[in-house]
Amino acid sequence: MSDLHPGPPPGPDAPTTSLDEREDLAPLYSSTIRTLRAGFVIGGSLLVIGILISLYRREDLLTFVHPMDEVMGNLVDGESHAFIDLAFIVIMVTPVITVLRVAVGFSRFNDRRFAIYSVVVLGILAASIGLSLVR
Amino acid sequence: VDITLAVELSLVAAGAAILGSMLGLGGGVFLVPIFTLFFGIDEKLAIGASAVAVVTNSIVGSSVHLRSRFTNLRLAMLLQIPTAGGALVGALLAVRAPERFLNAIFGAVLTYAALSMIFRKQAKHVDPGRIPDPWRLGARYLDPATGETVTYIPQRVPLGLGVSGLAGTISGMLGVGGGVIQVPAMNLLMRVPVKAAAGTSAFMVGITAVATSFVFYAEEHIDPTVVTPALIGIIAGSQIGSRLTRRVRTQRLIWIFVAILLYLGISLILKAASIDVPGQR
Repeated sequence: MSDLHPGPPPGPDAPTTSLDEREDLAPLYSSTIRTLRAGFVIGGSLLVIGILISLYRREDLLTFVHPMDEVMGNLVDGESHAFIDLAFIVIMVTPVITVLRVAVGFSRFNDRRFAIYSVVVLGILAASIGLSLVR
Repeated sequence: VDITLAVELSLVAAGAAILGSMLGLGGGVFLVPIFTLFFGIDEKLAIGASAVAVVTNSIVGSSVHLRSRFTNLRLAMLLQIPTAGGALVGALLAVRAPERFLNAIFGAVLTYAALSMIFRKQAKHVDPGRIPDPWRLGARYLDPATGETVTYIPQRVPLGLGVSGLAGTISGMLGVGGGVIQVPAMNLLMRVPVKAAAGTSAFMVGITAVATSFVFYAEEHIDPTVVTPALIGIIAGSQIGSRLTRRVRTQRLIWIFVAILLYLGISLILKAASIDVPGQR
């Protein structure tokens, strides 16, 4: 289990570890799968609800999405397009939450190097969401 | 809503997802050209739809790859840094780029990817016991097609990081996940077996497409009449594709990949040059 601890920076002289000595990352893989599945179930359900409501009310799908800050208000009003907009947002956010879970997972394995890599990815994704919200 | 069009879009998306999931490409590489060439959908709406579809395909498809351990999470997180950064820059460029330019870039990327697969050399299997693994990226998985455990250690990591940055920029511009570049790069440059490259890429493409999705959402390039049928098809197709991956031999995947990419790539280049493509709307 020596590989659990962050090693020295990569380089030609860095020590190597046999794969047989590697930790079992099964819990990390399982939590990643659970996060993806939850995002899919929630996003897919919202999409189905939105489609069913619009079919029931004989409403056409809109050709545009509403700004993110208006989606929750429209949802409270029971608008079918709000469910569809929220479904898209949930689907788009799911990989972000997955990366967060991966970062936490590596951190729990004391694998600081890969936890940091994951946090950097998270920062870049946060920047894209932030840019979208201020536009 | 035109129900016939919605069904057609769903079927195309399902086909794209089956191939995309099997190849770790996310499906967007097939969706955008088909939507623009054969359905006359605006390029930016197609890219927006593709980006959301790629995220969905990755969410659904990568669970199966993760369970099979084809996905290498350490490799994914390392390569994702330049990929996600590039995707953000690419998406911001794409919303201002002319359609013709995007078609030309897309066509060139598809053609290059197809040619690189045709002329590729078989990646040599390296015994991981004899080579160093300073980046700690080595992994193994059981290949159900052969019943053998495949062990590998990615090579030439700095080069892989550079290519990932390029892949991210292009994928951000085109609404694809970047797998079209990353799968060959991981396989040919980094010596990652194709199934591990496809599994790792299937996970990465969803993260990469997030940046594009949010930028296109904010720019109102997400059209629910296009995205909703695409998602329905993508969800069905990725379920089928990710299960087929475990049963189909790698060589067959590559030739399907090459034929479709070449056709779509050349069609987009012709469109950028204002030359009609048969069947184009």
